[in-house]
Amino acid sequence: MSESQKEGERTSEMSLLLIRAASGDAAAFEQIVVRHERRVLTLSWRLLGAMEDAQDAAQEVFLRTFKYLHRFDVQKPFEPWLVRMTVNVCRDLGKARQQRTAIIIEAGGEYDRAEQQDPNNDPHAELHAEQQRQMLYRALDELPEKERTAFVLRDIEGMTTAETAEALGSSEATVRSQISSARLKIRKLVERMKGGRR
Amino acid sequence: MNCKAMESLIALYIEGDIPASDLRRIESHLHGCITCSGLVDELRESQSMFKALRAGTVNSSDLAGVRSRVLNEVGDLDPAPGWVLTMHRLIFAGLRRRNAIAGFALVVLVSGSVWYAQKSVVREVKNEAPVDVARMDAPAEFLSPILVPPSVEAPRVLKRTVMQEIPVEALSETPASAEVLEPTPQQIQVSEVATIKFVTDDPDIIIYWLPSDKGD
Repeated sequence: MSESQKEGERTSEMSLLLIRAASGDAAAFEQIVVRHERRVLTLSWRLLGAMEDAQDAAQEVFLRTFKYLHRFDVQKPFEPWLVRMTVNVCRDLGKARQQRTAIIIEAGGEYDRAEQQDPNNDPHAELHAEQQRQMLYRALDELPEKERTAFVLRDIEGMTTAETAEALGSSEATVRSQISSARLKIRKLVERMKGGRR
Repeated sequence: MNCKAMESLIALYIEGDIPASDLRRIESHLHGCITCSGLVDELRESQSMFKALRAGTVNSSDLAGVRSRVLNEVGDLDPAPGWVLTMHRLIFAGLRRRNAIAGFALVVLVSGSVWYAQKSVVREVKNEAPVDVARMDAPAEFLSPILVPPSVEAPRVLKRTVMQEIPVEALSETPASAEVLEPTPQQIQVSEVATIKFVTDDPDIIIYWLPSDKGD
């Protein structure tokens, strides 16, 4: 069986699941959650920085999905719709937690639960990697919200400029301008943090 | 182009987000500019650090937590009723949502414009200043059934104009010079008859009242 046939089968299977879930089939909806929870939670965590907020966001995304599934056109791919909803939910949550984030980040340790550590690794190397991760997320947090979102989707999630534009509901030109500005700011912030650490 | 102006293009160039036309320009600039080449290296370094974050993933326990919360909440929620789903499919059948909404908005806009135009015409008619109307009662003989059939609504008389009347004495005066012409029979007739013009509210109907020689 060719790749395109497999892809077609997967799509039609997903369409069936979506139709069943829209009609109130809880088992079908659970399957949708299982298939997409990692993507939604990871993206939320990258956008919001804190795992607790990311879990709240992911929960809200799936609840909205269940509520508005009947509006979704099953002929279209599901994941871009879900990513767009995740971005919107994170944007709403991000506004609400803007003030307290600054305090948490200053206190440190907000990102430490995010990744599974390999116990076979050198603890010193792990510590260094963890410090670097925290530094990067601190730099990310200093970006304006729109630039941070575009940067996360394009450069960390690895989406194309067109996919990023679709997820953000803006044009490719706007996304290019946002990621260009974000990359330059990030570079300066990283240089500054590296300088400060030395 | 100076280095400052190049920065934003270079930030796109490092990830291949730039059109081919700009690519040649940037590469030729980078070839001879040490500052911008240094910027490229720094950007690539920070980008590679961030790309390393792609490998990071979330804990299974975090995922399980989200899933159980979602499924508990969903159990309490009711799905959209069947009639909502049916209506939704009927309304948006075969149409993309945006097109359907745009079409609906267009229909509302056009209907609103037509309604507003009609309403404003009625308002203009109402706001027109009242016309000074000289009312008079037409003589009973004039409104005889022969002239105005009972089935037709009689036009309303708005204005009465009395045509210029030439005094009879003036006609009898002897002309001062030989050049004065004799009045024609028509002029005599006009001078002797006072014509009354009735202007009605129907612009196509003007009534001339020509009394007979006897004065009735």
